[in-house]
Amino acid sequence: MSDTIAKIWVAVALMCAAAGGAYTAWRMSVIDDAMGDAINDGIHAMITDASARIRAANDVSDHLRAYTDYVIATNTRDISLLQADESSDPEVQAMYIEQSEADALPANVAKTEFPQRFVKRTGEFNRTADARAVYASIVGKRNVNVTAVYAESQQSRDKTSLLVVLLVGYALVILLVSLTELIEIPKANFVLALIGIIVSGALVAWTVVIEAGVR
Amino acid sequence: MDSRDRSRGALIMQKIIERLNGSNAAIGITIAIITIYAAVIGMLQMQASNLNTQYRADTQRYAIAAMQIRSVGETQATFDTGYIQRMNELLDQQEALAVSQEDGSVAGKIDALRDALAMVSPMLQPPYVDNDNADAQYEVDTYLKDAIRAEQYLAASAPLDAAWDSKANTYVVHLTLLAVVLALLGLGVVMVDVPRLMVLTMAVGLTLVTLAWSVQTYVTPVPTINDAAITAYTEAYAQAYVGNNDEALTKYDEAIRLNPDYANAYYERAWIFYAQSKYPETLQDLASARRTGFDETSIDNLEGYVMMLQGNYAEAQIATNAWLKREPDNLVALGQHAAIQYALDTPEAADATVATLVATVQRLVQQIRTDGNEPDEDFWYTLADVADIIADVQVAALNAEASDFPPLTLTDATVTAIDAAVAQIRSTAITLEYNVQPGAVTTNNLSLGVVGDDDTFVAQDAIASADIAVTPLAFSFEAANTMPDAQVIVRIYMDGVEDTTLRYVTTWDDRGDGMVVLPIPIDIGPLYELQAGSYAAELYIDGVVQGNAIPFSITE
Repeated sequence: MSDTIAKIWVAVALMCAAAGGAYTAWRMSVIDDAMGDAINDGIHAMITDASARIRAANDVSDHLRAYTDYVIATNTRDISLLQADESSDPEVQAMYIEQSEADALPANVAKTEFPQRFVKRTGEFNRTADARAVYASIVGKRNVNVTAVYAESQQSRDKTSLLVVLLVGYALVILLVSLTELIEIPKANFVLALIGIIVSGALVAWTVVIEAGVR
Repeated sequence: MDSRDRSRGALIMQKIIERLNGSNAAIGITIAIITIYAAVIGMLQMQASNLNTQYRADTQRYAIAAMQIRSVGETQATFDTGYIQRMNELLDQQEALAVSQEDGSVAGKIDALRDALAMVSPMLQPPYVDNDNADAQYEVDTYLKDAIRAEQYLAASAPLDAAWDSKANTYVVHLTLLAVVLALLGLGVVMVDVPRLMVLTMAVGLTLVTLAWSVQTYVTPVPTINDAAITAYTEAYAQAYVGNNDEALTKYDEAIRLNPDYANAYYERAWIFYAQSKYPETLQDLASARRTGFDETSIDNLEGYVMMLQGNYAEAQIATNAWLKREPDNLVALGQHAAIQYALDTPEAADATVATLVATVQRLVQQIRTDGNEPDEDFWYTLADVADIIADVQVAALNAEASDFPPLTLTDATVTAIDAAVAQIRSTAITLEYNVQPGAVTTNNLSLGVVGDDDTFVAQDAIASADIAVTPLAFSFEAANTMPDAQVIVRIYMDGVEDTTLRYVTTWDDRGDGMVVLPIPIDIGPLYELQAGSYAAELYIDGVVQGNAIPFSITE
């Protein structure tokens, strides 16, 4: 093994380490960019979710007011009708029946202002179900799965943390190959260069594996 | 240094240069080592940057979550504690009316109506029904704890975000320095003799600086989120919110034990101590809150006021001055400053502060209105509070038992000056709140009483609560310089605090000669009665307060 050939292999090894390092750094930047996008998507999803919940709460509040008016009006009407029943005086009966009709008027208006399907048999208004229905109609098909979006960004962070370790590996390879400057045995230098090339290749393969998400 | 020493030094230098000239391989290895070092710093930078990104995202998430939880919760609570409670009170009134008219059957039916209403809202069911703290308890149960927890995580995440951001940025500086080191080493390879010595020396120096700096950056502690302390704080806040101060104190103690740098916990605990009149503990906690990073001026406010309550006006003045330095336009700070100056018996200085306060109020209101807005309710409450604090200083001198402050000795000049200052602040507030031009009306022989069945005024300072709706309160006075359609405002104070729901505003055009009578209808409905106690009525004509508030009492 001549010194010239050994030096060519050393140069090739340095080139492999530098190119491999550049490749890993490039993939890191791509993943980092994706992480930034995921975080923005996460914030967007969170704002969409929060805004929908706030609007749903307002709508439910409106429904509850209408339902309260309805409950009061219908019960007041029932009281008037009971009073009519209890009275034996036809004039008083007529007055109460007339009163019950007046009492019922707000109920007629109010009952169109809340979703009647959420009134339970007990008379309780199911606000949770109402809120969910309103929320669903506001959100539609927009992505509000904040957890999934943030999990994606966390995954990207984990990948960049691993890839940066590989960069240290490339630096070690460069150090290893640089040791050939101190060694004047061409065979030994060739072996070091070969190790450098193999390790650089392995680091590139590891970069691909990490990026693909396979551990 | 003689010539022999000089030549010996030159010889050593020559040897070093010669050795360096033959060290290309060592420089190459050094470059490789520095590259590894830079890669390690790059790794640390990336980790710091990732954590920074994570905590920034967390901060944003907690901010949005806290806002959403509060907004949704308040909307729900407003319905239950507002609308439903009003409906319930309406039923109470109707029931009381029915009972008063001896219509028992209607009263029973209203009970049925109330049962129906109870199905609409948990507020009308146990444990909220017949609970004095129902509103607060309901808020705590439905959303407040979650909102407080999210706000605490937000507060805890923000310093983490900042700390990791700082580390990541510092590592970038290290990387830049290492790039310079690598460039110098590269130059060192192609240079010889003294230039090589110089660039290599510089490279070694920069490497050592970067090494020391990066180690220091690495070991600098970063705050952590203490979940247990946040849980204890949240529970403490909730307990305090429903008025369980002792339980709240226990939980705040726990939060502080778990996180001795918990600024919010010190601050909130200070308020509990203040409510329990434990003033030294209050001041100690406020100092701890400030030391651990709580940077709101509300600390200055409470600190100065507590010192006043201790009668320590000199210290209070120092604290309030510091506050004014930070917020020169703060109305409470100006008012507190004036109150302290009156308490120190320096009326001229206090009057000057009151003049500044009034000018500031006028400027702020004008500014708000120029921007197309209106001052909020709190603005006027603040002014009322400011006037009350100053008035309380006078009470401390005249009737110490009725004052929050310890007994004071004031000269007559100060007592008179306080009267004028309080009147000026209240008049300014009313004039600005109702946007009226201050008039020049003056009244004499102002007295308070009632208007009897025959429309005659009877001076009276004790009125039965049942009578107030049928025989209204009235002022009697002689007025001069009245304008047509003068605006009249009457403020009613109970135990020194205005009940704004009783404020009476009207246009007054019944300006007869001599004594006139101004009835003050208090429209509180036929079923409610004013609570028995000490009251006072204060008359404003065209924004100008007429004399002092006249005390009267409501009897059972």
